[in-house]
Amino acid sequence: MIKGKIENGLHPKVSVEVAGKIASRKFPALVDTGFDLEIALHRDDAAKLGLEPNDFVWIDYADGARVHEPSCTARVLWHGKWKDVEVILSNDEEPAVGTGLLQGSVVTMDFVKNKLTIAEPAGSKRRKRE
Amino acid sequence: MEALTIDRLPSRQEIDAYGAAAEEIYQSFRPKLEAEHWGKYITIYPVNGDYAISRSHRAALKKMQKKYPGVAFVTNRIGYRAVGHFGGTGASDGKRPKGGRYDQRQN
Repeated sequence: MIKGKIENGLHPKVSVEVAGKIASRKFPALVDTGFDLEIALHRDDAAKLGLEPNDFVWIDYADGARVHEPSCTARVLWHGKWKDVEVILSNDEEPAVGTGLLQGSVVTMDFVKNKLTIAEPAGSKRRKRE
Repeated sequence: MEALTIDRLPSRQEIDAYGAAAEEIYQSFRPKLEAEHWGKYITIYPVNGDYAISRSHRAALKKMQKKYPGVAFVTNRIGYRAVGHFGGTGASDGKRPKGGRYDQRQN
């Protein structure tokens, strides 16, 4: 189970380890349910990991802007295993985890105790073996 | 137009020009694409107009990377305004065509 916290009682945060061609690093990332891809990183952070832009994809921002942003392939440590993910490079300083990465997980946000958990669904290991 | 390579992050101006060239290619056969491949991903090489279509972004990209190693592409989701959204709804540009392959798959 991945454990995070609700920062300042408002912002769900989790630590994710992202690996590129030359390095890996843990980032405190916002769990953003309005972001429907996997991970967003700042361009400078991505460059330090050695992430290379494979392609450019249309991204719709909440302010109505529609922009081509670079997309890279990286690996993320997720539920104890390395997983290939698409990383969108943005100008936002704060890394984000989107619903594309949360898919298949049970996410609990407790805004009373300021706790966040991301768990694999019960029985998922058994189903995988079958 | 020159190919953008993956060994460097291009400037905003270069990305916008590359994206605009791909958008022009997409728009040139958009009705046919949307009738036959609604919801799939199209990865375009703006330099020569070649493209690959697949149900997943990664699969469309891999097909093109195999043909053109070391260069960058532009990917669209067919029928949608964008591939990803920050705070958006993921709405498409218009109505999904009835009776197409997408409908058959869903039923």
